[in-house]
Amino acid sequence: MKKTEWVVLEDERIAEANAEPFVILYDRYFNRIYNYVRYRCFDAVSADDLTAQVFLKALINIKKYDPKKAPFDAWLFSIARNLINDFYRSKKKYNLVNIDDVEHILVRSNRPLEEISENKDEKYRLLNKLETLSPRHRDIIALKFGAGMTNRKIARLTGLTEQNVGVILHRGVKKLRKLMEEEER
Amino acid sequence: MTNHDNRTIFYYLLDVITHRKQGIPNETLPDDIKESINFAVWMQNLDFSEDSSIKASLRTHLQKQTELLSNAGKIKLSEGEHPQKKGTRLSIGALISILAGGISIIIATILIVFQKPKKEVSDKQTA
Repeated sequence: MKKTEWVVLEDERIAEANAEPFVILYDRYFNRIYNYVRYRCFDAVSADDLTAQVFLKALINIKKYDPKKAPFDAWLFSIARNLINDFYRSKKKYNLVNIDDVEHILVRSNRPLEEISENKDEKYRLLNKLETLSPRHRDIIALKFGAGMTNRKIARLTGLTEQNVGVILHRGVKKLRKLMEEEER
Repeated sequence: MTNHDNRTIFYYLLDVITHRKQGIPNETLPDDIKESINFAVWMQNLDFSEDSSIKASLRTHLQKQTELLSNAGKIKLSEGEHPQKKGTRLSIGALISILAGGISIIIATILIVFQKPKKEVSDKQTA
């Protein structure tokens, strides 16, 4: 744990001294950030767009990051959380219908299941079921399983207690599993 | 096993999964919990980023952005350093010559001032 944080801080120092190695940070965190965004955002195009925004925002504000206040991944995920929250707020405000959502529905209804690989289909089903959870449940599940964060880190980031994070996770996973099983029947 | 115990085990196991530690005591757990753990492991291992269309293009874009940023930083730095370099270019020899020139001007003005009253005195004597 300590070793990981040290590596992260080391990377951060490099990035501050010379902006070019920011790409190292991008390579290291892309998958986790993208996964987190995807857990929270059903449509793939918006997930791509939001992931891009996270890294661009981080690049612009890299000098504002203070390693004493939080580990680098926590800082990066707080940017991602804020961007996703803003995204949903604006979506709600203007009641936008995303063209990608429509496309997904069309693809789902017209394409034979055989064409879609089992793994992709399961991922899709999971994302679909995640949509039915409350925003809080979804956020915590995304941080845990999409971003691969520990309960302690999630608690720090969200302002909840570790125990509360555990309860939300437990209920969220249980509900998701039930929803997936119900669909299989 | 009570609900409370189940929950505690579940939190523990979720953390075990995240830290990828070995030794999950699967055999002693109820089936329901086992299934949830398997489900959590599956969720933990999902990677949505494999076929992300943005990955490569964003990487290139970020590379360009960072290069621009670092170049802008270098330009700013060289602008700041420029006047300082001018100041340090003044050599000791030049400084000595400037000082010598200044001193000689002062001496010359003192001599001129003291020569004038002497001339006046000598004129009066001849008269």
